[in-house]
Amino acid sequence: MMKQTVFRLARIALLVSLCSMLASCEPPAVYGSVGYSSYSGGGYHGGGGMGTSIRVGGRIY
Amino acid sequence: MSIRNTGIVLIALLVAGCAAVNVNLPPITEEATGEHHKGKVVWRDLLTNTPEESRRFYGELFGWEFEKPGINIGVGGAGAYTLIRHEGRLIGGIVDTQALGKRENISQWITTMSVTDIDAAVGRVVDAGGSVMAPPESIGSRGQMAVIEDATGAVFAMIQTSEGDPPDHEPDYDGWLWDELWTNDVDKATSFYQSVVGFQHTDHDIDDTDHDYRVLKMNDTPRAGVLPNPFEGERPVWVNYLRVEDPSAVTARVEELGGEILVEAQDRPIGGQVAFIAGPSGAGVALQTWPLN
Repeated sequence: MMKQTVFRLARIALLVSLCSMLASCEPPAVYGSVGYSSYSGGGYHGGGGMGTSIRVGGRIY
Repeated sequence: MSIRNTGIVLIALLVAGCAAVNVNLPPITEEATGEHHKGKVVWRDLLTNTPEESRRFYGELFGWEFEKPGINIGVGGAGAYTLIRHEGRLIGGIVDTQALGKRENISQWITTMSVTDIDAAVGRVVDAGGSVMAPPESIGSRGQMAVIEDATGAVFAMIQTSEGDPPDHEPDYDGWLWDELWTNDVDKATSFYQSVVGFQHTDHDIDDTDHDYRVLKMNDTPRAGVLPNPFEGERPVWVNYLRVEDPSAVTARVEELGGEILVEAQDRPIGGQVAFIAGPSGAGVALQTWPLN
């Protein structure tokens, strides 16, 4: 009885471990190379409140 | 099976699983079109370190819906990628950069341009002054994709689709309208995209501006704009425009949803209105009314 319980717990632990390790496999590798040096972000952090002094573009036809 | 043997099998599965991480994303069109529109921006992916907040932001503002790809996505990729749907159409994706293992904030919209021969196009990048950040890679049913830095430093992607590109159609409200490169050297950038993708270009004199507006064309079809970077000192970037009915009505809700207004709604010299906002992760997106009048 004790042995079965130990086996069952061990199996559950292994499954949990498997799931967490699989989840750590690297996803969309194609974006893995996009690093900080490339960050232009379109984010412009710290530049908020720029008002209307800046003219952006947009579709013309 | 003993615990020891179970462990050995488990390790073998993990190695096989991680080695075989081929992200298998669905095609960008749900029905194969067989059409290829070289130079057309056919997809946009949001890289974000705040995926949950970003989904709420774009969902509330534009009515976008989000779904996980089917079970055919590669191991480990399922949690990192979300498809965006609008008016029944797939219009883009969201990539969780934390799942990519990125500690720094690389949040940005990535513009993906169609090419008909990705190996040839990527092969021209270095000679044209750019660099290949990620070489052509199969992403399953979607096709072959590469990530490129252009000759002025803007990042974009090229794709050779497996089942075809989406057909041209009238832009939906709250859907994509236009794409524009903001660069510090318009001529250098133009030369790069002409060499790599094969664009032609025309310049248009816009009243009340001190520069022409450059349009990149493919076979007389306008595909994107090129503009001197309106934000001095910022790196070049591809900016994507959404068609909205009233930019002011959208910007009024931006901050309560965790975003930021970068340029308030403004009248355009040529007609209509534009605004520029950032989502919760800092990635910017532009808003524009359409048609012009």
